[in-house]
Amino acid sequence: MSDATASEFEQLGASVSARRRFLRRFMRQRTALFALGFLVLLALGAVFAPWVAPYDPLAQNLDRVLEAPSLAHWFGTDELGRDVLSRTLFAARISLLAAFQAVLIALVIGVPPGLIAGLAGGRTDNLIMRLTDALMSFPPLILAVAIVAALGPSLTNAMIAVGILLSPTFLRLMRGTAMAVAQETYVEAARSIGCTQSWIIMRHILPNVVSPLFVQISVFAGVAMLAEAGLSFLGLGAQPPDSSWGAMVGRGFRYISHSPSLIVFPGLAIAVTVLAFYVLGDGLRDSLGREIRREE
Amino acid sequence: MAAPILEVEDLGVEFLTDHGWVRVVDGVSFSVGEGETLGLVGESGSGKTVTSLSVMQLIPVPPGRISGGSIRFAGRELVGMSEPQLEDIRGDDIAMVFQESMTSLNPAFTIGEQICEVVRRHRGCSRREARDRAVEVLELVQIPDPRSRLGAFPHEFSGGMRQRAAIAMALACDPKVLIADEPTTALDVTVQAQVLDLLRSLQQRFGMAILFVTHNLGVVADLCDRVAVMYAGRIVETATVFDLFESPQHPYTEGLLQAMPQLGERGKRLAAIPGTPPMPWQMPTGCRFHPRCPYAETACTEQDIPLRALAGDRHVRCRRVEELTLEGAQ
Amino acid sequence: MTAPLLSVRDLAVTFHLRGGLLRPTRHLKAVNGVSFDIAPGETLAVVGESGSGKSTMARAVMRLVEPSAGSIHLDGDDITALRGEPLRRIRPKLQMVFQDPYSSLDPSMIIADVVGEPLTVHGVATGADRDERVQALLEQVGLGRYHMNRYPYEFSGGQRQRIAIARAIALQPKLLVLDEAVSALDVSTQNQILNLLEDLRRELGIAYLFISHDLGVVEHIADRVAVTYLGRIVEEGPTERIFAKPAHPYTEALLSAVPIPNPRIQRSRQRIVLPGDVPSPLAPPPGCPFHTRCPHVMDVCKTVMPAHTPMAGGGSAACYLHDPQATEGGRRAS
Repeated sequence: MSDATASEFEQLGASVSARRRFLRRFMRQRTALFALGFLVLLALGAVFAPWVAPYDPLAQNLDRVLEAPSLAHWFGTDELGRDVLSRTLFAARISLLAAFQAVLIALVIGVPPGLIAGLAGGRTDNLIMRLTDALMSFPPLILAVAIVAALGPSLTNAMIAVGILLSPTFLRLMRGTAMAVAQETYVEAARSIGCTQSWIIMRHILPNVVSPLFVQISVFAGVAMLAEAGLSFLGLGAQPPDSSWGAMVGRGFRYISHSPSLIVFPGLAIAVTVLAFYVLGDGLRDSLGREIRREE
Repeated sequence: MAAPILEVEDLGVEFLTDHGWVRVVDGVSFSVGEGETLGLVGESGSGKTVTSLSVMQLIPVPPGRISGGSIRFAGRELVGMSEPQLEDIRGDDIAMVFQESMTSLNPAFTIGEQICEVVRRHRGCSRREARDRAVEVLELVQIPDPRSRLGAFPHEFSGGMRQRAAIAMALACDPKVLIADEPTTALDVTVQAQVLDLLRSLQQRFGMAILFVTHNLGVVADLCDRVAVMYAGRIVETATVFDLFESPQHPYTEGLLQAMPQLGERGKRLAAIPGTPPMPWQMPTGCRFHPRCPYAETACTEQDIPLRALAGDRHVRCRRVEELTLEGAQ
Repeated sequence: MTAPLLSVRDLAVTFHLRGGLLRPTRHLKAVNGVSFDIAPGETLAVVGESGSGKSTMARAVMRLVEPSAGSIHLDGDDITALRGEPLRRIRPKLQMVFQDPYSSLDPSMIIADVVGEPLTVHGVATGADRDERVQALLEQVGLGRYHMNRYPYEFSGGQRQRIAIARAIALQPKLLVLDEAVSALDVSTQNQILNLLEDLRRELGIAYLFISHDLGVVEHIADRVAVTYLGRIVEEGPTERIFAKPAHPYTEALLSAVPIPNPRIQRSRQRIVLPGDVPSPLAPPPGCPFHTRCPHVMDVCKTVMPAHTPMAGGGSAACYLHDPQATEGGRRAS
């Protein structure tokens, strides 16, 4: 299509503020809204687990072990007779917190060097990118196991490992976006006005690189949750008595033939939540419109 | 006027936007005769490009749709025609040239491959014949040493050469109608002059009709036989090129002509049409030009103004056409 | 004559395009030995086609790209090699309006901050004082205070260019560099902006360096015109003389190529259609850069770049046709 048409179409949407336009577009994304609603509910359920959960997640009842779902125990009971629904709710806290930790670590590790690489260019860029390449050329699982082995098995250590593994993507995203934004005419205009370098970075570049970041954060929350589940399943993540969904699946695995519901419910929780993060990320990207699509 | 080869009647095109379905082309009618060049003139947002894309049903669906009207090529209705049938016509009977030739040329294939593909698709001839035809049309558009240029990729050509190659591709199957959407806008003026000369001589040789979409009145004055002026999705005036420039009948046409900086004396203020064109979701009632029109009266704001036929095959959408004497180009 | 406000001598800008494994580093001489002056309050238009280096010239004057040779003096001060803080301090005298009003305004900032930014970063005004000044600037360019809290998104191209102009005049510059500032606009809007620029010149006495490819606009707005081709100025002079009596064959062809919006005149005039395209600035031809397309080419043109010869009616042209020594020898090739 010709440029003239593109700009004609663009003009059709040009009379509302960016934020309102984003909101209006996002509101039209039914599935993304649904995903957001689910994640909010899940977060509320996790925060208020002590009030919402029907049982104490640690209360054992050895008379009623490995029961199938029933009216008293909607999700059944585990090998120690603990209520699986309550445990799933409490595990949501750990799983969500773990995902949050990993993404936060990835952001802290990835974003600043990404920005520096994108804005400094030249040798600095080269150095940072070669280090990133080196990091990415390790097999990820082995790297994670090595980090956990070095720091000791704990959920936080596992999430540090996941965060380190996710950071190169943030780094590359920030580098690319910062490079693109630095090429924009408004940055050149800021230089022509006489803005200092640090002013340009703070006022012109940072505000314009964050939107693609949000999309990636949402998607990576899902990825981190999946990674946490995998590590916890291997026993490298959440340690008893704490339990995450991945850990629940791991423990339940031993009783898979006798009582499959033990892994079905936490497994489903993982799948649905990860999916919700992905769908939300897609919805955010679509609502941000061309500002982001251009970067892809 | 020669027998019409392309007739557009009451065309309506809508786009789905943040404001719902918005009509960007509204009741547009025109026809292009055999061997004639019709200039479709307007500013950005006037709907001229959407109109030209609709002729070949090339508007993206969704978000666009043709909401009504009829487009006939040599008497055959194109609206509602099946995609395979349209593909038979596209590039064969009706060809298009765009503003940015990079969009019509595929960067991954050589110029020769692309022209040959069009020829083989529509003519079903052998590779050798298609190759000969490609050399022939490249020669026609004055690309030096065409046989060796067949193997070149689009990016190896300069902007002017690319546009000429795109024209060559459009001409490969002897189209009856050439739709040219701002084909010279991205080019330098000296190259634009070459391309306009080329189009003129090709038309004289092959007699195809040209629908020439542009915002540049100088180019219109140079090339077109008749002109249709569009404003806010509608045609406001049609006339022969001489009539239009000498005695415009619509205040918008007058405004455009007066706004040409060449015609303004140095030091004097340039004539400018005040305000900006309306957005398609907030079209003014009555005459769509009335908020910017120096001759507007209350009655102009009240009801839709029809396109009226005047003597000498002219049409104008202005209710004060009899009273007003408007100024043309000097 | 008064001392020039801007004085550019032998300016050259070379870009180094980094090669790859199998490609050598290439040097693009975007601007090659360019000299011109602008008097206070004067408008100099630099015209040329793509590859002529006119935008690079503007950016070099703005010190947004590094000159590789030559000098730039603004108001008597040598600004060729200024960097950092000293460069920042001369910025208020020298401002720029860019071609694309859609990308020259930061989409994440409201208009009050866009227009007020020069005032803020130079510590001229803050808070309510700044807002008051911004309001006055917006009114000066035909916008109002109710536009202050909106985002660039909400404005049309013409309005955005007004905002960009308000930002550029906020510090009361002596020279405004306009890089194709009206090219992206429709005719009706374009004239509104040109009239605004004319008003501002009259009210504020700003000098303009007006970069454009549109000769119709240039004829209207410029006092003097410099015609560029492949990084060089081939002709320069008062607007009237250039348009009435172009001396360089390229200027002549350029003027003849612009279609006149009147079919009777346009279809009856003599036109010079140049063959071929502008050569790539990566491999400019030796001698006069225009010799590959020039209808009057002579042997000498192919080897040595002609010097500027003064022309009757003002200005100068770099062409052997006007150089008595070159034509005397009867060295015309054709």
